[in-house]
Amino acid sequence: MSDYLDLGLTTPFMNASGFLGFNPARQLEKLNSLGGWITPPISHRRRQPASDRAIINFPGGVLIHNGLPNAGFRKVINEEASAWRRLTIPTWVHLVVESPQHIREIVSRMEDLDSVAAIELGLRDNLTTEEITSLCCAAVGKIPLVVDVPINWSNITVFEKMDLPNLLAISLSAPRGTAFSPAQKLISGRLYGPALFPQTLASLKKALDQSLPVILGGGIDSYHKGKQVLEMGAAAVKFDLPLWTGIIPE
Amino acid sequence: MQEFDLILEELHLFGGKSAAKLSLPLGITLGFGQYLLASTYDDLLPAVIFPQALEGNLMLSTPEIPSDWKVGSSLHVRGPLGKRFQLPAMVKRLVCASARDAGYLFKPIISSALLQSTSLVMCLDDPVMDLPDLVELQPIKNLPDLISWTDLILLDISLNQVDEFKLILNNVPASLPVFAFIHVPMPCAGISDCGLCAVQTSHGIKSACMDGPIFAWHELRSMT
Repeated sequence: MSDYLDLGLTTPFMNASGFLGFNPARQLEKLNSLGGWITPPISHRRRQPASDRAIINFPGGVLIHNGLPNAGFRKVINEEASAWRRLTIPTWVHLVVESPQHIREIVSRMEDLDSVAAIELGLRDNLTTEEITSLCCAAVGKIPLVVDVPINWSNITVFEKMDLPNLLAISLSAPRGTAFSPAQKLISGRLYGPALFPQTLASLKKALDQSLPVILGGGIDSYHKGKQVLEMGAAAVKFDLPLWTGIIPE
Repeated sequence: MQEFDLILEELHLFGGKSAAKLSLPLGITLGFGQYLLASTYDDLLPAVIFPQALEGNLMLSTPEIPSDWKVGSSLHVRGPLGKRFQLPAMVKRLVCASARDAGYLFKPIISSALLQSTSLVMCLDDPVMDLPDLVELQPIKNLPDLISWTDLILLDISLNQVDEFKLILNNVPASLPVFAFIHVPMPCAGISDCGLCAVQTSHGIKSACMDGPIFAWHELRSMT
């Protein structure tokens, strides 16, 4: 069974992408339990916040739709990468998956930096096996690769069959959902909160049937739950909403 | 920004909604426009807390706190956050207009205005708040009529009301200072660059949580 040390982390705890900023140095001073951190989603080109961005509460969780805003990989690297080098824990860059060409271009640029310990490739729902293979192959290179999929991803064994030389782990993350906004508009986005935890446990059980290390996120809102899933076999754990409240209970 | 823990000492009801009374640690002061972000252990998201009154280290919030907070609740607090707004001394005639709630947010600025003998008109459609006798009350539909009278306009609106108020204030001269307190969810307070509180301005996209929540009206751009 793999553990966080095999992933290059200093503890088994991380943030989920999008819950710390592009330069989290000040937050990390206080969050000394984190053994690695993941950037917000970074795309090839600049992405504006979604015009219908929303945060919607539902019992036990929230839906967040923000459009994954970021300045595009060139600007993010120019402005932030030197700060990543000064951090005492490894930086994992989360990429918004667009096309194999874009992934190849970003990964090549990241390889010129010495501040990126891994690339987390955020795969969206509804990709065919061919598309998944093509996207993951585009990320083959010197930097270890983590594939990031929603906890309800059905095709979890596809990755070990690819036999990618730099594939480090599978990361299970927030699933997508749809909710009514206060104005009764249907909004789709990512779901977060403790209501997801039973689904997260089910997805971990399924993911442990394959051979790659599993990093688990989704509804883990305390160190106690984190330790439970580590004991089940997860290699590391990702916190999300508790990083915004500033409270991660024991 | 600092982080600290507090106990919710008192709850006060205003128009059926709860406001929290908090004893802030020494050295923590909030100006108009600034806020705290507070959570209990049961909250999924932090709540934004604006002051309606400050006396020494005691702060009374606007009546917008989560309904499940109780006296004795432990709060984890971050702040002060946001940009402080100071009423210019030269302002002798001030208009405050709240299209969002009963105007409690403006209480600190009302105190400042009255201290410097500024004449004040509040535009409210839901005037449940006790206003000092010196403050004139008008409905929001009269706001355009006050443009030629006032030295400065302060708005308290939601982000989705910007376009509506662009129409209401379409004849405001560029020389008249107008500022808008923009209400929009600010769950991360700049921690994660989440973009949920993005505001379109003439200088590009700004975050209400860090660059606001008070913005110069002439810099705000249409939301559509």
